[in-house]
Amino acid sequence: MLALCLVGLGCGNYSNEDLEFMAAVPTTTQLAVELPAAIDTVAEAELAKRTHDAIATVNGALRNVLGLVDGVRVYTPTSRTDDSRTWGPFPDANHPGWTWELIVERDPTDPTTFTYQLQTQNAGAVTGWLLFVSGSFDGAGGARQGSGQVSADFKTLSDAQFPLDSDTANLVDLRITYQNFELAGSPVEVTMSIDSVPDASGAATSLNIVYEILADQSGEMTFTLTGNLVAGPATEIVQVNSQWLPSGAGEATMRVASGDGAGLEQTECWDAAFSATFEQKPWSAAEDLGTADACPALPSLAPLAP
Amino acid sequence: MRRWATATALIATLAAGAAARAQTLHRFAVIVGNDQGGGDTRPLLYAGADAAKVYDILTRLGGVAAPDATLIVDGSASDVLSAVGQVTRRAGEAARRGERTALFFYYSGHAKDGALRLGDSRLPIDSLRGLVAAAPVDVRIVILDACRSGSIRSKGARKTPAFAIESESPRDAKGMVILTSSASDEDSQESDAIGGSYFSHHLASGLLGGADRSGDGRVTLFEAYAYAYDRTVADTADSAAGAQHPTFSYDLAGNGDLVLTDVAVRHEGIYIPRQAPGGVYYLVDHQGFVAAEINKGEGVDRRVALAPGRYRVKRRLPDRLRIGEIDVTRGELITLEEDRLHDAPFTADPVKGGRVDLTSRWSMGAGVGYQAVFEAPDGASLFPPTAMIDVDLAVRNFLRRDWVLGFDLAGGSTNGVAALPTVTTPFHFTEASLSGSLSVEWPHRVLTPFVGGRLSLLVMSRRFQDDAFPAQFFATLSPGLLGGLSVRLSPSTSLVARGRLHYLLYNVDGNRSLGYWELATMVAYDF
Repeated sequence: MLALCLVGLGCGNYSNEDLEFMAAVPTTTQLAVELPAAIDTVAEAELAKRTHDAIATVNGALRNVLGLVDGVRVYTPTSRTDDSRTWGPFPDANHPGWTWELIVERDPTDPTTFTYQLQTQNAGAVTGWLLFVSGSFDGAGGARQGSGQVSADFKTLSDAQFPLDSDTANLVDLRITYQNFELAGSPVEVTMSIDSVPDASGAATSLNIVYEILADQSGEMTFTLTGNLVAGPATEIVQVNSQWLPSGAGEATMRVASGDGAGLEQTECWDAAFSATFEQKPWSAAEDLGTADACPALPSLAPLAP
Repeated sequence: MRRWATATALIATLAAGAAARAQTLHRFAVIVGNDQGGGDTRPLLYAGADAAKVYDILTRLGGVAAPDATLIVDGSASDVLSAVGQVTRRAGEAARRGERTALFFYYSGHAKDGALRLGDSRLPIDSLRGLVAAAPVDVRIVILDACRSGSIRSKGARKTPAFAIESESPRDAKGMVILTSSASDEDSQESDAIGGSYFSHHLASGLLGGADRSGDGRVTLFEAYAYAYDRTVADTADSAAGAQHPTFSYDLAGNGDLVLTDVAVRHEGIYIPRQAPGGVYYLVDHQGFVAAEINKGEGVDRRVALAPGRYRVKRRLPDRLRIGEIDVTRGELITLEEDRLHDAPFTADPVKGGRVDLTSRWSMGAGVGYQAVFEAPDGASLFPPTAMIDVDLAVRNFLRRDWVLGFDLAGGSTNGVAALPTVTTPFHFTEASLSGSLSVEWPHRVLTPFVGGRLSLLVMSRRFQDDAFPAQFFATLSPGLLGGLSVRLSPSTSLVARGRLHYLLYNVDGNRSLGYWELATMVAYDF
């Protein structure tokens, strides 16, 4: 390219096609959930805190997977063909000896359908490229509107002795499906499944989260928790549904699916400071607070498929 | 001592007036050249150079002491009037001392509507003639190399009545001689090959010795005129503007003929001996221009008082050239023997022509424009239509007359949208260009059309509102054509409207030939 520049025959990375290949892979911010942080975490409402924790898990997983793609995509493609772009191999500055390569391909028979893969390789290994992230995007809905899926294979990396950090060391795989349509309110709907190796305490090995983000950054999330959450000897499996406004004020319902108090339901509302304004907790009536009138007015959203 | 010798020689040759013969003729000169004639004329190329040449000859060979000679190049009418006034005062002082005096006034430049045109100023010819006639001198010699003009090679202005010099001496012009370069209804012409106007060139060649028909080493007024007349008519007979006939009117009031130059006094230059073949000898200076053009007859010799330097000599035969080289050294008269010359093909002609250091004019301009690619909307999705700010620098007549070498720097920015099948994203587009152009213009009174070619280095970039997309840039060379019209608002200011068509090779997403157009207007200032 430098030679072309020097002789004035045209050089640069000025490309509309590149934009399409880049847009085929979702960005971290495109799927991330934004909820204002609580100023006083000590006084934070219980289900608001669990919602914050679930969001942190979602965003952390996105950073660990799509953040890698974001880091590669800031560069000009290394090579171009009519139906593919390749970035890299680039050395991994944080993990010396490892290199990354991103390949995005377009279906020649369906120019709105893309597949991609992010793979890594140890300079000293003889195993070749290790596929970490793979995905697809169908942009038939128009400009950046479509559906896609992303999966990340953490086990392959850990088996190859890739130095995963503590947040991801126990993960086995991650699967995300999403759809992004420029409909009223611009909802982004994501289903995320995370499988991890059971820890010593026998904590959850699978986490399913479904969430929906509107253009004004209000949203809804349904996630499952496992633990001794209700007084009694059993471990409960509970499902939490949270909905919030752009200000942060919101409402959540936690339903005990199994374990002690199966079938019980806790309802909680909080204000923009994440302080509880309404609490109804059947297994601990002493914690009840206020009336349902104190709950924020939330828009009606289509129910999320768990 | 040398100047004294010159004066002494001139005394001895100042023709027939017996009473005057014993006296020194104290000579004064005002020599004027101006390539510019105002907004309704097209610039000349060699008027200033012609004046400088005449100044050199008069001060070197014409008995005019340097303090008594004033050279005004590209000056105004007031500069000329001031110079004539000073000379008149000094001549008056000389006359009161009992000296006989002569005043030379030479002008090369534009003349129109009865006035000499000195840049934007005018000097009515009647006023000039009255001023010269009133000067307290014994002899007045006025040489005007100016006229109207309508064609490219002609010298002067538009098709209006040429300046009128009466062919018969006016009553108030006792002791006055007037030479003009052309008749009242003719154009005076310049030549790139000789680097001057035909008339001044042949007059100068004659004064250097070519006109010394008598062979006495002195060139008289009549000899100089006859030589300049013959050679000018011969050279211009076949020109597009038609033959040019110099005119001569005089009333020397009993002074008889007048020696203008003494080519023998310095004993310096080139001597073409009697036995040398006859014909026209071109003596070419180191720049490739004809310093003197001597028409030597068979059986006569010629002395050419060239300044020291190296000259190439050319004589043209029907089928070949005879060329050679000769060095003129100070205080020596070098004989040009025929065996110094050798045969050469016409392609070896040492006369180059086309001066590059004359009347180059710089101008600067600033303006605004608008450009867009042809292949919209796809092209616009890549390179959106953009308003541009443009700064231009141009030099005219540098490479060739009426050729304009230009450089421009332009920049602009706008917002655009990349609307693609699977992504729509807004961006901010920025473009900068550095360009060179070469154009030809056809100057007229007010309007000057022009066309040319241009080569631009384009650097374009865009930044996206969506942080997911990195900034992009593209750089390339883009050839194009340009054309437009310049409207003169004042002598030094013009309003320019122009259009450009450019080819753009885009080769990132495969090779694509794009084109873009540009319309612009600007205000230009001539320095």
